[in-house]
Amino acid sequence: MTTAQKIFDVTGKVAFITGAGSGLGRAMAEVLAANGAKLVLFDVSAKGLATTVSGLGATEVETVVGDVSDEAAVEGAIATCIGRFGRLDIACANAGIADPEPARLDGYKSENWHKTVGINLDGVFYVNRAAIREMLKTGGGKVINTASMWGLAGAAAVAPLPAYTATKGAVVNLTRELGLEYAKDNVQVNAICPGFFDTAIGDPNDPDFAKATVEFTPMGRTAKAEEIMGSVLYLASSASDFVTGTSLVIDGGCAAR
Amino acid sequence: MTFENKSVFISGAATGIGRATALAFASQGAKVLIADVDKRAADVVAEISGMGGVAQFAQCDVTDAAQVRAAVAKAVQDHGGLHAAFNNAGVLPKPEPMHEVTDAGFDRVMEVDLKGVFHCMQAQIAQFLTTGGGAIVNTASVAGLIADPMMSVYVAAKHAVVGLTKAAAVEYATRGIRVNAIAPGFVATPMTEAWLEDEDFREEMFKHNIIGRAADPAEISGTVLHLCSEAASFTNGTVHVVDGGQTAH
Ligand SMILES: NC(=O)c1ccc[n+]([C@@H]2O[C@H](COP(=O)([O-])OP(=O)(O)OC[C@H]3O[C@@H](n4cnc5c(N)ncnc54)[C@H](O)[C@@H]3O)[C@@H](O)[C@H]2O)c1
Ligand SMILES: NC(=O)c1ccc[n+]([C@@H]2O[C@H](COP(=O)([O-])OP(=O)(O)OC[C@H]3O[C@@H](n4cnc5c(N)ncnc54)[C@H](O)[C@@H]3O)[C@@H](O)[C@H]2O)c1
Repeated sequence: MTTAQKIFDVTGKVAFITGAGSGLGRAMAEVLAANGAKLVLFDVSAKGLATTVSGLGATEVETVVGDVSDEAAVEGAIATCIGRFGRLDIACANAGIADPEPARLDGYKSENWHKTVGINLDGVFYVNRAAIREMLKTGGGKVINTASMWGLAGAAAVAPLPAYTATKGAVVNLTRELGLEYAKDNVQVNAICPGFFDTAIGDPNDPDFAKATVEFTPMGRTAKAEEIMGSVLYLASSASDFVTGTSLVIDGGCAAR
Repeated sequence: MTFENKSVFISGAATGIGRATALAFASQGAKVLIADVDKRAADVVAEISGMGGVAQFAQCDVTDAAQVRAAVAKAVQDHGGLHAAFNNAGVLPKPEPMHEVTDAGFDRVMEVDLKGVFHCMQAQIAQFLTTGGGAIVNTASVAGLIADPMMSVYVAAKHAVVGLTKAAAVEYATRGIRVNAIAPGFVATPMTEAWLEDEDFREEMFKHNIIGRAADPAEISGTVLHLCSEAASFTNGTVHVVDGGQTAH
């Protein structure tokens, strides 16, 4: 294996991925498995997890059904990971939802706000804290938080998403903070900021939304879920050992315009 | 990740970040053309040949558009086209108060660090448009995002490289061309050798830079390979920061 191949290698690493039952989380599971990692996959959807696992081949994989906004469920899943594999090297805090009912703030329901914050922000906090505690025991690790391009900019030109933009912006800045806090502990904490990816989170059946996303994106198309794989492998492997506290934008040029 | 039989153009690869990245590309099967003013680029070519790879040196000053066009044409002709480019040549001026910078000093840094990248991009884009696309990565710097005192012209030039990167990314987005930049923090290369040896500088540098060390040039090359590869197919117009957390604060 050449040096360049070695730096993108995750053979034998143990990865924990939330929201692994669909979309980007499933793509993360696939790329890390294909490059030799062992997996603990977490999602509220048992069915989604089963579908993900069925596509992975002979990888060593554990699944945990649970809700990331439930502190005990996250702690339990990390304990399961340590019980099975003895360590945790890569944590992808990826589970997230869009605003349950997109609406401008004056008509926004408190319950939708709290639900979004509970999953998109509290969930990321629980996963990061539990994962970093384990990584500090073993001398380092990689945390990858799924923010969004809407963590760097307002979304209202496409759809009013006050809770989504607020929580994703919070994830971007939490990532900066944790990157700094653990810089000397060999724990690299970074975020990804996807643009429009074809997953279950958008509304692929709404032709107006689909048209708006394509028109908004300079590359003139949306992305397939697998187009996240390269960035995830980069952030999960030693190719990014000097990279921490950053947010990788993977948006077909939206943020540049 | 593989660059088997891909033709890659790299400017400024006689030493430092460019050299490390040329070696990394070659190890993945790329055919590498090194454009540099420094004849020591021939040693890098020899090193690549020694490991069974394919590389060539085009002596080229990036401030001269004709020389850049010729170097790009050479890559196209000898290496079967052009697939990716790493525009990395640059110079670091000596620290100097802004009000004392001469016009000549200003022009020199802008010529190499900004116009040199511009020349490279022009030649590469013209080529990519004839073949359906390719990937460009420009070396900016954390100085393209934040400022250090006494480095005004370098800071301005590197900010401008970020601007050119975004402009080209947006302009050619639907024509198969992806353009991104990297923003390295402190990297141990000949460019920063004097600073690394200066204890006062080091102390000042790391006061707000928690990581407490400079990167090895090889720690930058993974980012460049990622951005040049198909794995980054939806990444366009971005700046990938590789700085050990320096700009997160
Ligand atoms: N698809 C995009 O365009 C896009 C863009 C930017 C950011 N993102 C982010 O990417 C992440 C993944 O989304 P996706 O696009 O793959 O969507 P998705 O809906 O296809 O997948 C999300 C997964 O998370 C799971 N999940 C939802 N709530 C959960 C909870 N409380 N606990 C545990 N699991 C839960 C779902 O069951 C699902 O399997 C999200 O954080 C999302 O905000 C997506
Ligand atoms: N070392 C760092 O800390 C650091 C940090 C951020 C960005 N950078 C940038 O990284 C790039 C590479 O720098 P490095 O640190 O590897 O230093 P380096 O001095 O080792 O490499 C610079 C290369 O550019 C070449 N070059 C200079 N002027 C040229 C010209 N007119 N035409 C063609 N080639 C020319 C040099 O010969 C050399 O090979 C530069 O753009 C620099 O600004 C460096």
